Amino acid sequence: MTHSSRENAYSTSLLGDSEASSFRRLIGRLLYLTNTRPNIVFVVHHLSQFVSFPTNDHRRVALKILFYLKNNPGRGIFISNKGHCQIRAYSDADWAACPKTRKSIIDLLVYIGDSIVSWKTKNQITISCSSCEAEYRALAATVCEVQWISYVLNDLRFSHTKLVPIFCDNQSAIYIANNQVYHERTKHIEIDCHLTREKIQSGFIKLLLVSSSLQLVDILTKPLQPNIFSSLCSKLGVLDIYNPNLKGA
Amino acid sequence: MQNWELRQIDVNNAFLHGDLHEDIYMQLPPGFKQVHPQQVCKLQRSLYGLRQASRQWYFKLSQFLISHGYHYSQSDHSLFIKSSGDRITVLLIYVDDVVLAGDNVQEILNIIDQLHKHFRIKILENLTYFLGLEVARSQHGIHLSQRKYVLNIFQEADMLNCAPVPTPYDTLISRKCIFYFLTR
Repeated sequence: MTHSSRENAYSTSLLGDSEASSFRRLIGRLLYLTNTRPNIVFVVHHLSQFVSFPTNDHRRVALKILFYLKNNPGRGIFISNKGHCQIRAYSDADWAACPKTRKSIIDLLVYIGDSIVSWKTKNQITISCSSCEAEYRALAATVCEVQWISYVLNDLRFSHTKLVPIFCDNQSAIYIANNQVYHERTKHIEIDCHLTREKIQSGFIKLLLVSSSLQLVDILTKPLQPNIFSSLCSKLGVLDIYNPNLKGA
Repeated sequence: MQNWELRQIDVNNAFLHGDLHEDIYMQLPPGFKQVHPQQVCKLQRSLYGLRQASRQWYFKLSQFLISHGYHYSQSDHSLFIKSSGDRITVLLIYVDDVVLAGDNVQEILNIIDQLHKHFRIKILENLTYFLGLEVARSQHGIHLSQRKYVLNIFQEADMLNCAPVPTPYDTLISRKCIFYFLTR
């Protein structure tokens, strides 16, 4: 399909001024809502890139989020007081996700014990040449976040001395991080390289491979089938206390 | 994690507490009679709308807390911590909303009392509603939701009667490329 026929197939009419401003307002409110709902981050992040020229289609997608929220408005994240305060993190990248600029997206999730505490999805500033490089950048961002959380935990006197496992589904990114030898091919990702490698060597983190099917960050990177979506929601600890039968459904 | 006490307070007219380091003059507010045609008034405290109001308020509050033995966390400057022995008290500040947490109930009550004497505050007992987040607590943990906020969005979008769907993804979004070509 060519570009022009694609454009013809969908309505591209821009919203009028008042409709566009109500669309922006809606996106603003949804962005704040992602504070307790990591499960809608992907769509909201996606939509928030179109606030300057919203079209009918963008509004349609935004309304779909509202239809979904209608399921259980009282849903939120649950922070359990059981167990340990071991940090673990999941890192992923969506390589060249933006077809227009070919920039990749960084995604990360951080847990303390069984409770999710931090999540992020962000367009990378520069363009990555390979998926491995994009994953590696995501890894560096995750390391920074984990480091900050561990500082805050230390301030609150929850000392954790164990290694922080960071789950990544890209094997070559893990190899680059673990390998001491410096490759010419990785010169341009030097800073990210040093950052992650230093933390591995100092015994702060360890990188573990996770298979793509168990990668929890998927919920931040792509649209999912309803059954996978709901099982990931419950793994994120997103549940509705007002409707206990639908735990994580 | 450790079943800490959680309290919440709200400082009344927070920005009016800030001291000004600069000389700032303003026109007489309506209701005052000008004696001189060029008469203005000099501000002694900061006012809402001044550029430096929020910084002065933070300065005032942090000075106060530091004088009571708190220190701010190096990794988050709106987080104040006081530890005495093995007990710990933590204050998290968002402009004029303060969340207090810790295992030292006596110290929490004490600092609330001191803050009340100094600034005049609204004491809201246990933490239930903070910045639009609803906080529900049970013996298993804490649940954070934004139920009221969601219902507000529905009301604004006039969608109180719509039918729910299982996922938030429209069919358009799976065809990401198309989505991008729509933009300028």
